[in-house]
Amino acid sequence: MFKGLDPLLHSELRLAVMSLLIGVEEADFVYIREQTGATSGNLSIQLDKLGKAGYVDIEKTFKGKMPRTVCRITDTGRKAFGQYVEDLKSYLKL
Amino acid sequence: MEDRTITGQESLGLIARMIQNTQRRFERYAGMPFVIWGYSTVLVSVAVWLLVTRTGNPDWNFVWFGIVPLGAAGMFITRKSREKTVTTYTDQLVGYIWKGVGFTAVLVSIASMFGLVTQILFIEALLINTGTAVTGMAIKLKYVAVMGFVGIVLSFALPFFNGSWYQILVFALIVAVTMVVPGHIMNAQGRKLNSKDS
Repeated sequence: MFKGLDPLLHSELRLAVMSLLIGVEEADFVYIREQTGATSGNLSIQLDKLGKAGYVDIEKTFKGKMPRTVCRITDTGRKAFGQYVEDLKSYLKL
Repeated sequence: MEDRTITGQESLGLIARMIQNTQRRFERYAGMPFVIWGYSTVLVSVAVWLLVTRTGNPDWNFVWFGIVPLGAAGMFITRKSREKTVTTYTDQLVGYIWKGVGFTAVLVSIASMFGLVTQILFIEALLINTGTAVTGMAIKLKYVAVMGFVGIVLSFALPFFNGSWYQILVFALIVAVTMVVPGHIMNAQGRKLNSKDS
Protein backbone atom coordinates (compact mmCIF):
# COMPACT_ATOMS: atom_id res chain seq x y z
CA MET A 1 0.00 0.00 0.00
CA PHE A 2 2.77 2.39 0.91
CA LYS A 3 5.00 1.63 -2.03
CA GLY A 4 6.43 4.92 -3.25
CA LEU A 5 6.54 6.59 0.14
CA ASP A 6 10.03 7.66 1.15
CA PRO A 7 11.19 4.63 3.22
CA LEU A 8 13.56 6.83 5.20
CA LEU A 9 10.68 8.91 6.50
CA HIS A 10 8.13 6.13 6.79
CA SER A 11 9.44 4.98 10.14
CA GLU A 12 8.01 6.10 13.45
CA LEU A 13 11.10 7.60 15.04
CA ARG A 14 12.61 9.20 11.94
CA LEU A 15 9.26 10.74 11.02
CA ALA A 16 8.86 12.07 14.57
CA VAL A 17 12.33 13.67 14.40
CA MET A 18 11.58 15.28 11.04
CA SER A 19 8.16 16.49 12.27
CA LEU A 20 9.81 18.13 15.26
CA LEU A 21 12.56 19.74 13.23
CA ILE A 22 10.22 21.06 10.53
CA GLY A 23 8.65 23.44 13.06
CA VAL A 24 11.81 24.81 14.66
CA GLU A 25 15.03 26.52 13.68
CA GLU A 26 17.15 24.02 15.61
CA ALA A 27 16.78 21.51 18.41
CA ASP A 28 19.31 19.70 20.52
CA PHE A 29 19.58 15.96 21.03
CA VAL A 30 18.15 16.09 24.57
CA TYR A 31 15.01 17.93 23.43
CA ILE A 32 14.41 15.46 20.58
CA ARG A 33 14.95 12.51 22.90
CA GLU A 34 12.49 13.94 25.46
CA GLN A 35 9.83 14.68 22.86
CA THR A 36 10.09 11.33 21.09
CA GLY A 37 10.70 9.20 24.16
CA ALA A 38 13.37 7.29 22.24
CA THR A 39 16.50 5.83 23.77
CA SER A 40 19.74 7.71 23.18
CA GLY A 41 21.25 4.83 21.21
CA ASN A 42 18.31 4.39 18.88
CA LEU A 43 17.96 8.13 18.36
CA SER A 44 21.65 8.44 17.48
CA ILE A 45 21.32 5.70 14.85
CA GLN A 46 18.22 7.27 13.29
CA LEU A 47 19.73 10.78 13.31
CA ASP A 48 22.81 9.36 11.63
CA LYS A 49 20.62 7.87 8.87
CA LEU A 50 18.81 11.19 8.38
CA GLY A 51 22.14 13.00 8.38
CA LYS A 52 23.68 10.67 5.78
CA ALA A 53 20.63 11.20 3.54
CA GLY A 54 21.19 14.95 3.79
CA TYR A 55 17.82 15.52 5.47
CA VAL A 56 19.26 16.77 8.74
CA ASP A 57 22.31 18.83 9.51
CA ILE A 58 23.97 17.60 12.70
CA GLU A 59 26.39 19.85 14.52
CA LYS A 60 28.40 18.59 17.45
CA THR A 61 29.49 21.37 19.78
CA PHE A 62 30.32 21.86 23.46
CA LYS A 63 28.21 23.62 26.10
CA GLY A 64 30.86 24.32 28.70
CA LYS A 65 32.53 20.95 29.11
CA MET A 66 29.46 18.98 28.05
CA PRO A 67 29.11 17.80 24.45
CA ARG A 68 26.00 19.09 22.69
CA THR A 69 24.44 17.86 19.46
CA VAL A 70 22.31 20.37 17.58
CA CYS A 71 20.07 19.29 14.69
CA ARG A 72 18.55 21.33 11.91
CA ILE A 73 16.44 20.25 8.98
CA THR A 74 18.08 20.95 5.61
CA ASP A 75 16.40 22.19 2.42
CA THR A 76 16.64 18.64 1.06
CA GLY A 77 14.95 17.36 4.22
CA ARG A 78 12.24 20.02 4.01
CA LYS A 79 11.49 19.05 0.39
CA ALA A 80 11.48 15.35 1.22
CA PHE A 81 9.15 15.93 4.17
CA GLY A 82 6.77 18.00 2.01
CA GLN A 83 6.80 15.30 -0.66
CA TYR A 84 6.18 12.62 1.97
CA VAL A 85 3.12 14.48 3.30
CA GLU A 86 1.78 14.94 -0.25
CA ASP A 87 2.29 11.24 -1.03
CA LEU A 88 0.65 10.29 2.24
CA LYS A 89 -2.35 12.49 1.50
CA SER A 90 -2.80 10.93 -1.91
CA TYR A 91 -2.54 7.40 -0.45
CA LEU A 92 -5.10 8.25 2.18
CA LYS A 93 -7.21 10.08 -0.43
CA LEU A 94 -7.37 13.24 1.67
CA MET B 1 9.31 5.39 20.14
CA GLU B 2 10.95 2.85 17.89
CA ASP B 3 12.29 2.38 14.40
CA ARG B 4 9.15 0.69 13.09
CA THR B 5 7.03 1.18 9.99
CA ILE B 6 3.71 2.85 10.69
CA THR B 7 0.32 3.13 9.03
CA GLY B 8 -0.76 6.21 7.09
CA GLN B 9 -3.13 7.35 9.83
CA GLU B 10 -0.42 6.87 12.45
CA SER B 11 1.94 8.95 10.31
CA LEU B 12 -0.47 11.87 10.11
CA GLY B 13 -1.23 11.67 13.83
CA LEU B 14 2.47 11.59 14.67
CA ILE B 15 3.27 14.59 12.45
CA ALA B 16 0.43 16.63 14.01
CA ARG B 17 1.44 15.67 17.56
CA MET B 18 5.12 16.54 17.11
CA ILE B 19 4.37 19.88 15.44
CA GLN B 20 1.93 20.69 18.28
CA ASN B 21 4.60 19.86 20.86
CA THR B 22 7.02 22.40 19.42
CA GLN B 23 4.32 25.08 19.36
CA ARG B 24 3.17 24.49 22.95
CA ARG B 25 6.63 25.18 24.31
CA PHE B 26 6.94 27.99 26.85
CA GLU B 27 10.32 28.46 28.45
CA ARG B 28 10.55 28.66 32.26
CA TYR B 29 12.33 32.03 32.10
CA ALA B 30 10.75 33.36 28.90
CA GLY B 31 10.36 36.83 30.40
CA MET B 32 13.96 37.14 31.61
CA PRO B 33 15.20 39.42 28.78
CA PHE B 34 12.27 41.77 29.47
CA VAL B 35 13.04 41.77 33.20
CA ILE B 36 16.79 42.29 32.75
CA TRP B 37 16.63 45.04 30.12
CA GLY B 38 13.62 46.62 31.82
CA TYR B 39 15.31 46.82 35.24
CA SER B 40 18.58 48.00 33.65
CA THR B 41 16.73 50.85 31.93
CA VAL B 42 14.76 51.79 35.06
CA LEU B 43 17.86 51.68 37.31
CA VAL B 44 19.97 53.76 34.94
CA SER B 45 17.10 56.24 34.44
CA VAL B 46 16.73 56.77 38.18
CA ALA B 47 20.53 57.04 38.54
CA VAL B 48 20.73 59.68 35.78
CA TRP B 49 17.83 61.61 37.33
CA LEU B 50 19.47 61.59 40.76
CA LEU B 51 22.88 62.58 39.39
CA VAL B 52 21.73 65.44 37.18
CA THR B 53 19.24 66.86 39.67
CA ARG B 54 21.65 66.62 42.64
CA THR B 55 24.69 68.01 40.83
CA GLY B 56 23.07 70.16 38.15
CA ASN B 57 25.66 68.79 35.72
CA PRO B 58 24.07 67.52 32.46
CA ASP B 59 27.25 65.56 31.64
CA TRP B 60 25.83 62.82 33.85
CA ASN B 61 23.59 62.02 30.86
CA PHE B 62 26.48 59.89 29.61
CA VAL B 63 25.42 57.39 32.28
CA TRP B 64 22.55 56.44 29.91
CA PHE B 65 25.07 54.38 27.97
CA GLY B 66 25.38 52.23 31.11
CA ILE B 67 22.14 50.45 30.12
CA VAL B 68 24.00 48.39 27.51
CA PRO B 69 26.77 46.93 29.77
CA LEU B 70 24.33 46.51 32.67
CA GLY B 71 21.79 44.64 30.52
CA ALA B 72 24.51 42.61 28.81
CA ALA B 73 25.95 41.63 32.22
CA GLY B 74 22.48 40.57 33.40
CA MET B 75 22.00 38.47 30.29
CA PHE B 76 25.43 36.90 30.77
CA ILE B 77 24.81 36.06 34.43
CA THR B 78 21.42 34.47 33.70
CA ARG B 79 22.54 32.65 30.54
CA LYS B 80 22.46 29.26 32.30
CA SER B 81 18.83 29.58 33.35
CA ARG B 82 17.87 30.75 29.86
CA GLU B 83 19.62 27.93 28.04
CA LYS B 84 17.40 26.50 25.35
CA THR B 85 17.21 23.00 24.00
CA VAL B 86 15.20 24.19 21.02
CA THR B 87 15.02 27.41 19.02
CA THR B 88 11.83 28.10 17.13
CA TYR B 89 11.42 30.47 14.18
CA THR B 90 9.48 32.77 16.54
CA ASP B 91 12.47 32.86 18.95
CA GLN B 92 14.66 33.81 16.03
CA LEU B 93 12.21 36.49 14.88
CA VAL B 94 11.96 38.00 18.38
CA GLY B 95 15.77 38.05 18.54
CA TYR B 96 15.92 39.98 15.26
CA ILE B 97 13.25 42.44 16.45
CA TRP B 98 15.23 43.30 19.59
CA LYS B 99 18.56 43.47 17.76
CA GLY B 100 16.91 46.04 15.46
CA VAL B 101 15.40 47.94 18.39
CA GLY B 102 18.69 47.88 20.34
CA PHE B 103 20.79 49.00 17.38
CA THR B 104 18.41 51.87 16.57
CA ALA B 105 18.16 52.91 20.24
CA VAL B 106 21.95 53.14 20.57
CA LEU B 107 22.24 55.00 17.24
CA VAL B 108 19.55 57.50 18.30
CA SER B 109 21.40 58.04 21.61
CA ILE B 110 24.68 58.73 19.80
CA ALA B 111 22.93 61.07 17.33
CA SER B 112 21.41 62.99 20.25
CA MET B 113 24.91 63.61 21.65
CA PHE B 114 25.64 65.58 18.49
CA GLY B 115 22.34 67.44 18.67
CA LEU B 116 20.99 65.60 15.63
CA VAL B 117 18.03 64.20 17.55
CA THR B 118 15.81 65.93 20.07
CA GLN B 119 13.00 64.30 22.06
CA ILE B 120 15.38 61.43 22.75
CA LEU B 121 13.35 59.79 25.55
CA PHE B 122 10.16 60.00 23.49
CA ILE B 123 11.85 58.23 20.55
CA GLU B 124 13.47 55.62 22.81
CA ALA B 125 10.15 54.92 24.55
CA LEU B 126 8.40 54.52 21.20
CA LEU B 127 11.13 52.12 20.03
CA ILE B 128 11.07 49.98 23.19
CA ASN B 129 7.28 49.80 23.34
CA THR B 130 6.98 48.99 19.64
CA GLY B 131 9.45 46.17 20.27
CA THR B 132 7.30 44.92 23.15
CA ALA B 133 4.05 45.15 21.14
CA VAL B 134 5.51 43.32 18.12
CA THR B 135 7.08 40.67 20.37
CA GLY B 136 3.74 40.13 22.10
CA MET B 137 2.03 39.60 18.76
CA ALA B 138 4.80 37.31 17.49
CA ILE B 139 4.75 35.08 20.57
CA LYS B 140 0.95 35.30 20.75
CA LEU B 141 0.84 36.63 24.31
CA LYS B 142 -1.97 39.14 24.33
CA TYR B 143 -0.97 40.86 27.58
CA VAL B 144 2.55 41.54 26.28
CA ALA B 145 1.18 43.05 23.05
CA VAL B 146 -1.37 45.11 25.01
CA MET B 147 1.34 46.38 27.39
CA GLY B 148 3.41 47.37 24.36
CA PHE B 149 0.56 49.32 22.82
CA VAL B 150 -0.27 50.91 26.17
CA GLY B 151 3.40 51.92 26.34
CA ILE B 152 3.24 53.47 22.86
CA VAL B 153 0.25 55.58 23.93
CA LEU B 154 1.90 56.49 27.27
CA SER B 155 5.06 57.56 25.40
CA PHE B 156 3.10 60.50 24.04
CA ALA B 157 3.00 61.91 27.58
CA LEU B 158 6.79 62.44 27.45
CA PRO B 159 6.79 65.53 25.17
CA PHE B 160 4.60 67.23 27.79
CA PHE B 161 7.60 67.04 30.15
CA ASN B 162 10.08 68.65 27.75
CA GLY B 163 12.57 70.77 29.65
CA SER B 164 11.80 69.05 32.95
CA TRP B 165 14.07 66.43 34.52
CA TYR B 166 10.88 64.65 35.64
CA GLN B 167 10.65 63.42 32.05
CA ILE B 168 13.31 60.83 33.01
CA LEU B 169 11.15 59.47 35.83
CA VAL B 170 8.09 59.29 33.58
CA PHE B 171 10.22 57.37 31.06
CA ALA B 172 11.36 54.97 33.82
CA LEU B 173 7.77 54.44 34.91
CA ILE B 174 6.66 53.63 31.35
CA VAL B 175 9.48 51.10 30.95
CA ALA B 176 8.64 49.52 34.31
CA VAL B 177 5.01 49.08 33.30
CA THR B 178 5.63 47.84 29.77
CA MET B 179 8.77 45.72 30.20
CA VAL B 180 9.35 44.74 33.81
CA VAL B 181 5.73 43.85 34.60
CA PRO B 182 5.08 41.66 31.51
CA GLY B 183 8.52 40.08 32.01
CA HIS B 184 7.62 38.97 35.54
CA ILE B 185 4.21 37.71 34.38
CA MET B 186 5.89 35.69 31.61
CA ASN B 187 8.35 34.18 34.10
CA ALA B 188 5.53 33.26 36.48
CA GLN B 189 3.59 31.69 33.60
CA GLY B 190 6.71 29.82 32.47
CA ARG B 191 7.39 28.47 35.96
CA LYS B 192 3.75 27.37 36.33
CA LEU B 193 3.60 25.63 32.95
CA ASN B 194 6.97 23.92 33.38
CA SER B 195 6.23 22.72 36.91
CA LYS B 196 2.99 21.16 35.59
CA ASP B 197 4.90 19.38 32.82
CA SER B 198 7.59 18.00 35.13
